[in-house]
Amino acid sequence: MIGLMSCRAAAQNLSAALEGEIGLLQRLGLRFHLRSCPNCSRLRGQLSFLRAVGGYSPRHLAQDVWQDLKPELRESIEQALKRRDSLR
Amino acid sequence: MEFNQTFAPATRDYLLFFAQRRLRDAEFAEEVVQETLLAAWRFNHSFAGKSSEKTWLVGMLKHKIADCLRRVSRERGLFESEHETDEFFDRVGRWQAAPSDWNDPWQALTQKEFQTILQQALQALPLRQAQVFWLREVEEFSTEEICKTLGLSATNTLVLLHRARLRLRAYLEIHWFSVRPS
Repeated sequence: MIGLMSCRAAAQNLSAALEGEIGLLQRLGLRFHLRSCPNCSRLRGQLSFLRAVGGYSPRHLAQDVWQDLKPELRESIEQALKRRDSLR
Repeated sequence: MEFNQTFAPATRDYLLFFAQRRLRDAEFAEEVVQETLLAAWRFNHSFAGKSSEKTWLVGMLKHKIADCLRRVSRERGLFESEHETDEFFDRVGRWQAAPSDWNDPWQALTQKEFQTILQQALQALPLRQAQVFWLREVEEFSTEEICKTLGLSATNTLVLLHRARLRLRAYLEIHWFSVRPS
């Protein structure tokens, strides 16, 4: 544990920050934690990488990955896409 | 999954309705019903929706629901307390296996083998986590859209996304970045 925020909490906050769901206090606590924690700092970079992997030319990387996904996973995603369109 | 076809859809719906009423959470309800049907299927019965079978299934479902409630009250800690060890952190919230240096991960994006590893990493996730991650990061759903389409609470969605990310990064680290020092 470094400072006031544990690594577990820092990781949660990093994830929440990616969704814009982080409060001011958490943001400050997180910044403080990251300054002294190389592990969570690495995690921050890796989470951005994961985000980029998802968004990286979806019709390119994702298309190939998509082909090989388990059918039930593909189906669950397709259902959600249809569902969203119907809710719009 | 093929075992779903073993059961009359009406039976499944009934179980789902039952579970949803107890758990008040679409995702967990789906999970316990799935577990129940899978367990029943392992007994190798064929079910035609007869009432005795329904009773038997509901009995089993009740056990699964009780398990689920226990698990949930433990996992609540994910966003509230932090005094339990999980797969990533110890009792006081320290990394069990700290993230290592990935050097320059970006070059992986251009490599064909990386796609295979990535796809395996997704397959290794629980279905719900993989689905939520994909919808968020590839299909670029907003978190609200995920909540709405899947009937999840905002917290639930955040937790699923967070777990998916931690699992994916661990998988990629073990199967890609630590094997290929660049």
